[in-house]
Amino acid sequence: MIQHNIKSIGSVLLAVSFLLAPPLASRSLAAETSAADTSTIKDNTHKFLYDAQTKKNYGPKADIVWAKPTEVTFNHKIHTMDAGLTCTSCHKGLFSMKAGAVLTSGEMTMAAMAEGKFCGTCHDGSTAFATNTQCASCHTKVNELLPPDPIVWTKPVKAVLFYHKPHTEDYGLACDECHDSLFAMEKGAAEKAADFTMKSLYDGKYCGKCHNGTTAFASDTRCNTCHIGVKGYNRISGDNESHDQKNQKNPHTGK
Amino acid sequence: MNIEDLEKEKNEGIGSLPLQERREFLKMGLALTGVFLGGSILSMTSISHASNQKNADMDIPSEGQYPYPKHYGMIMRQNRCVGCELCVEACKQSNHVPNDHGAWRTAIQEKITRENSTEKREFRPVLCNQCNRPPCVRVCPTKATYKDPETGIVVMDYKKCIGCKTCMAACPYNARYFNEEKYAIDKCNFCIDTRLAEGKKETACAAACPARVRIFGDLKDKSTEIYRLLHTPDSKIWVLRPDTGALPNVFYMNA
Amino acid sequence: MSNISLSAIFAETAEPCLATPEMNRATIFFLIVTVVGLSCGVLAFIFGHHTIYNNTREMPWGMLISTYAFWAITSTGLCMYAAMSHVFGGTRMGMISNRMVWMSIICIMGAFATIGVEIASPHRMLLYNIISPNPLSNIWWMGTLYGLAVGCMIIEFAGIVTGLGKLALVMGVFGALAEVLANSCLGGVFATLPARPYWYGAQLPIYFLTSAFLSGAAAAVLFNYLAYRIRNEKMSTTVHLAVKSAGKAMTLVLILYSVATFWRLVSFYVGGPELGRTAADALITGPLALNFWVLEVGIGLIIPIVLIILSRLENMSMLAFAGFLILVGQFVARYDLVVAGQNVPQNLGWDNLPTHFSYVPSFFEFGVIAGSIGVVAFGFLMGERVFGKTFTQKEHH
Repeated sequence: MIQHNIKSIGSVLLAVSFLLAPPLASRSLAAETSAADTSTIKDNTHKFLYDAQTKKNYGPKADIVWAKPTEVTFNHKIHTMDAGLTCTSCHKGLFSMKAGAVLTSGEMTMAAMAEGKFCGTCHDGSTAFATNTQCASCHTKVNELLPPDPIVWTKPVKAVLFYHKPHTEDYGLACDECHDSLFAMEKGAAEKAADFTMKSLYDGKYCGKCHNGTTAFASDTRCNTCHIGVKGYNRISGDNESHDQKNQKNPHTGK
Repeated sequence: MNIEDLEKEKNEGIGSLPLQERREFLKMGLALTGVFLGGSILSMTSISHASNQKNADMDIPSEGQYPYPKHYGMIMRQNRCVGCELCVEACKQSNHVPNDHGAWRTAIQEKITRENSTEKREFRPVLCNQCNRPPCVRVCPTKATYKDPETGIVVMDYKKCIGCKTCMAACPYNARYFNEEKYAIDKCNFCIDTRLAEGKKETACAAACPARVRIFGDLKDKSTEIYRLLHTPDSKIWVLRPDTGALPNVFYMNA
Repeated sequence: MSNISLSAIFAETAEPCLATPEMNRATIFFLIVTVVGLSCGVLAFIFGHHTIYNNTREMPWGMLISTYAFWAITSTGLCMYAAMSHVFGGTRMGMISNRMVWMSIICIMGAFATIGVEIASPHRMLLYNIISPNPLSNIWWMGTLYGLAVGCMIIEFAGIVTGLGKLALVMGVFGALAEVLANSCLGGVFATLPARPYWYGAQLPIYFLTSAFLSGAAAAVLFNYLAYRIRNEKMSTTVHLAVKSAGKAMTLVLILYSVATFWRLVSFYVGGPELGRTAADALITGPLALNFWVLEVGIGLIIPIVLIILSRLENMSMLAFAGFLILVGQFVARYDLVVAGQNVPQNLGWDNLPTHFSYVPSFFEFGVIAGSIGVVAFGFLMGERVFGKTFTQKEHH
């Protein structure tokens, strides 16, 4: 019956949840500026009050906020009231009902979810949106997840800069508009590909998806907006250590 | 009759002037210039300032102004350059340029201008301009550097070089350096000994350029790309330091 | 002539009164300075010129070239004054012209010593200057003419000491002609480089010739003064008059040279290429400003004029000191000219280059300069010692 419910209203609710999540999150953030670094269930969260009439009143009212490894917000109402899940859908094997329990184990990673664990049980792309999409739905501070700007590519030529900030903030792109369809979310992945060339860009691959002269400036113009040359590379490589993302694993593959 | 007076005259058009007459006039003007500058024979057969032909103030050669059987030149499509310096690497390898700071036959210059907090980056490839009136050749006391009679390329006869460095002082383009290994002055020679001699059609730098910035070829051969680019109507073409009167064979354009 | 032995000639010309312990010490001291100083240059042939000297791709010429120019210019000046009095006679300077010929030879030796260790492969020069000459090259003419000049002057001097007046006269004329042409070509080396607007132009060769007349007169005054100083003798009236007329020439040319310097610099600020103006800035307000205002103008031009006025061309030590200061000023002026011509990047505006490259001569460059001064000082003392009588006797013709 739960499955049926989700199937019938799921798609609509997913959209709703996506729209609701940011405001909810920001509200909860405002409320818990003094929150400890571990996730806590808020003071009034044990009031299981959604709709006593229909018995669908389970779940803390306030958002669950996990602070580790990055801040993630979970909203019970969307999943129970709206999506129709019961307590046991999740709290029987997937998540302990003890606050912060999943964090101590350290097992709840994006990689684990991709394997179908934790949220990934439903968030697999068919039951609910996949965990490698709609990042900002749960990662309310998505910008903190971004690698430090700029990304520096040195192959096939030295060197090309990419800044996340203007693309996500100024142009409002969501993570999954580029990841992983155009770019794998892994450092240096594009550079390893033989087709990471201007030719591919002109064919609409990689940056060329948007940089085609209509959505954004064409990739065969304004070369040196992105290309900084060897001299530019040598100049920034002095403080390149801070830009180095070698210790950053891909959260989705764990590599 | 002098050139200044002639310049005040209304241009009667080249149509009304027989070719032979123009040539005679040209020769006279250049002979005078040549005498003043030390009587370089080369100056009598090169590009003219006095000939008010199509590009009077741009130092672009036109028909009949290529004194060499194969008149090699290069045109830089400057705004395509991304400063990757693959050309510099290729040149170093092909021509055994020592790995010293000041040792290069070709280089990429960079200019960064800031306007309203936006950075504008420009790259400019430079190399020996293989001038028609090469200041370096005139000043060399021992003819250690000379114009190759077949190609117009300014070449070195290393064993004759006494290392007085006058050619370095005379070069308007900083194209010459002291090669510690040869213990003589060295310079770009359009790969005449390393590639052209092997029948290759391009210099190492031109072949290595991923953006096809450098178009190398015989200015006399109407089938070459450089000929086409150089004689495209309305395209703005310039040379570096035209004021020195060196009459370079390396041209620049934006394409 | 051939049966007159060399020792007999030296017996005629030598000045035994100068064989004092002090003179010996001074001579040996300058010999040591010469050997040690020029050894710095010889090191260049072992470790590489590029390693020893602070020249770069962008600034291929440095203090060695400017010092070469300084000695060569001084040599030209001395030679010209000597030749004029030899040829036309009548000038009072005739009395000191033999010494001027000798010092002209010595100064050009100082110049050759400097350029000999500056050029990367002088052995190639010896061969290819002859079998592969470039008649369009100012450097070729300059080297050839200075070589010719020194040959003529050595024969001239031999004629003077052996009493072959005619030979000396003819060779003196040829030597002076070669010196003037060589000097002009030295100016031309710089003046015909359109790549360097600070040098390029028709004024520079004249400027160099003016400088030759200035340095030559200053050197004539200074060395004649020193010649009597080391002898502890008072100048005879004729020598005094001769040095006084050298002093007059020095004064006149000092004014000409100041005017030339003034207009030369002004011309860069009224238009023309930016490179030339920026190079002039180096002297007026830039990295060479101290050199220019204090050493070139202050010590090299203004103080000497004041000293000359105060001396009324009578006080020889004051006049000689003015001559010395002029030579210092000329030395710095050559340095500033050579450096300013190159220290503005030709591609200024690209590669974030500084407006002026910095150039500080290396220890070894200073060593070579000291060596060249050693050559001239040693040559002067040896000349007085061996040919002193020739210098003080009446004109040889």
